[in-house]
Amino acid sequence: MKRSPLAVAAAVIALGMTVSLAACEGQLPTVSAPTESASANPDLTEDQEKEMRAALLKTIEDCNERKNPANLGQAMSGPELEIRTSELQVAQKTGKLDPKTTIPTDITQTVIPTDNGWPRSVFSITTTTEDQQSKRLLVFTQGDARENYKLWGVARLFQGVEMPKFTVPSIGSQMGHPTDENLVMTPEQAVQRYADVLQNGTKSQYAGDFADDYFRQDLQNLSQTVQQGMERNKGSQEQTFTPVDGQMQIMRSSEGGDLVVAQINSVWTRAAGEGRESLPASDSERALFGDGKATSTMKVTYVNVIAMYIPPAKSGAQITTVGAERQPVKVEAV
Amino acid sequence: MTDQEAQEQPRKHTKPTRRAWIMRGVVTPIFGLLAVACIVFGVLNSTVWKPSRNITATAQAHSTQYVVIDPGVLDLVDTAVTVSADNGKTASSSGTEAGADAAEDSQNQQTSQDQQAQTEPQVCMAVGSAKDVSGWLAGEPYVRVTGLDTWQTLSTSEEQAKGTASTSQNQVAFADSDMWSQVECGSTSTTMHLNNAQPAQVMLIDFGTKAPSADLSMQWVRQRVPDFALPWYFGGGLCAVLAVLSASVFAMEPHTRRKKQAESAQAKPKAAKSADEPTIGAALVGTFAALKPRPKKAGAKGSARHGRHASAAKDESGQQGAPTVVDPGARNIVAEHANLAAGDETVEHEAEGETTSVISADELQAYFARLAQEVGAEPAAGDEQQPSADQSEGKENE
Repeated sequence: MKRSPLAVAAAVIALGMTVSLAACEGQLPTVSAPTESASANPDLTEDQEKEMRAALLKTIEDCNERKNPANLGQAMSGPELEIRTSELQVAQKTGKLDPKTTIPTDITQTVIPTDNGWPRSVFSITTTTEDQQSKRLLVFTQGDARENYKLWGVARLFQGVEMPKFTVPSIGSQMGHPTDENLVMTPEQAVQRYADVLQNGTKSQYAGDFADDYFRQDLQNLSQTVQQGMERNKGSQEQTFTPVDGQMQIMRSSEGGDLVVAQINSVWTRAAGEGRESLPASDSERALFGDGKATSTMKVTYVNVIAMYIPPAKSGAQITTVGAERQPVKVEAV
Repeated sequence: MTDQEAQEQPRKHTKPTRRAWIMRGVVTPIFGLLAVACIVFGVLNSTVWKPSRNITATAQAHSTQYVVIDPGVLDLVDTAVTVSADNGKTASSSGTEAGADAAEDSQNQQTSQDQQAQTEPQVCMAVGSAKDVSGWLAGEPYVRVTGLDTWQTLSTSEEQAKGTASTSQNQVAFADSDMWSQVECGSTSTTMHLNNAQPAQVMLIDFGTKAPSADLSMQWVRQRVPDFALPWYFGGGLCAVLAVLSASVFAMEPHTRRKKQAESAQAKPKAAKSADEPTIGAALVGTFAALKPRPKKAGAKGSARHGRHASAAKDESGQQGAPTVVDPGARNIVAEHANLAAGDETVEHEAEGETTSVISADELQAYFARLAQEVGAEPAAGDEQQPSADQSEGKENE
């Protein structure tokens, strides 16, 4: 009977000693293993995207004001660098920047991927411009961990076009792959075939794979008008479209399809017949051609940026082009 | 003098028992001292020994340009953390902190890069995600802060980042990267305070060049400090209660205590009491005996039940005169059959045994007459009954 209270006392003392001797500051916290979700975080927060975009647009705005493309390389890359450089060169000649170059500072949506590696891209869709031009699809890319995001491409979305849905930026989307087989055709094929459709129009074997769009229609109309003019003076015209390797940004939509933005270069060769001179066909071409000596043949290089939605394979739907941009970058008389 | 008085008289003057003496003289003071000690320790723990709210842990990194604070370390002690880094060189003239923001205008990137190239390498620290930090570090050696070794020192390890170092022509300065959510820079040292550090956040410190011996310190202000005083107070209270108990209840002889609890104040002799109560040893033996498998009788499984029935039948035959307690469970059909075979007399006999109604004088007379008749027949019936019971017993024994 005597032992039990003593045993209790001993237990109390032992407990007290253990607690007091453990550490005066308490138990040392340990680092828990990082969770999987940490790596699935979006590459940027919405605030970071806003800051990044604002900084780039400010640089671009400065270049616009000075009509000097010298600093554009700090804010732009890829097809947009070529396009904006040309636009600024045109503006230097004409004295004013084409309204199509406007990029609204507000966005309606941003698509931020969770991908780990580089290059990375971010897609943002702006609001309509103050003069009610259509929304712009901005594609920002980061080529390397030690580089910053740059504006890689801008496509003017077609009026009333239906855009695919994307996961909210706080969760993050996935970047697509150029050889993704789970789509009606791989993005690489789609761009190749669309270039073929642009070149051959309804005669292209792939014409049926792509829904009709404004860009294609406009190009065909222009081509026909020029063709008619050329035929009157026994001239000829030819336009070839070539996708540019590696210049493709892909973002997976929440519906499983991919939004692809790709650069397709085109060369428009116009040969005038009957000893006539072939002249620039537009104000932009004229500005770029400047005081060059016209010959019978004129070769104009265009940079086209195409945004198309490739639906998932099981849908069997047509590919829709949702936006585009086109700018002559080089006009030469050959 | 009543019985009670006579009983209490000797107890008043007896010396305290040996047990009471030990309890009150030894155990109670021990518990009392323990209680006081516990409370003193409790007070000390809640005052001078109270765990510090401010935790500052430091580490030194030698000849490294980069220090990475692992995910989960920034918020290890508390979500509010202040990180300071010093490249070990004496501060140059100004020492002012040139705060740079991740939202630095890209237009200014060039200028800030130029500035960096001109001036001494800056110490910068940035908060980003683990994947961005490892991307920035690709191919570079770095020192990793993995946690706390003690409350004063950070645990570090030297690592080599996977991947190949960037060869891009468009590299931006550390402070200008879009990837960081927060950046701070200083000439030779810099400090960053995070109010709400997240477990996924990683801090990357760039000393500009390989710093021969860089100092790093992390300071947390704990919102929740472990309370070591409470267990002491609890222990003290417990000891106090035990001291009181050992001076009172535990000091009594066990039987005295139990007797008080008992309703009757009558003192039974101790021997009688203990004779009634089986000792623990006896109880254990009994329990084990009950658990031990009994040697099985050769024969059917239900032999024990049969045996009980047989003995019940014997009882029935033996207690013919006494009022019969009808127990349907103890009914022995075999024995009843035997009784039936023995003849009507026995049946009557049984019926009579069951009759409890008031017996009239006539009936009594008839009974005596019948009794006289049966005196001769009785032994025969008894002879017949007995073997029948034996028979049933013999059956089960087979």
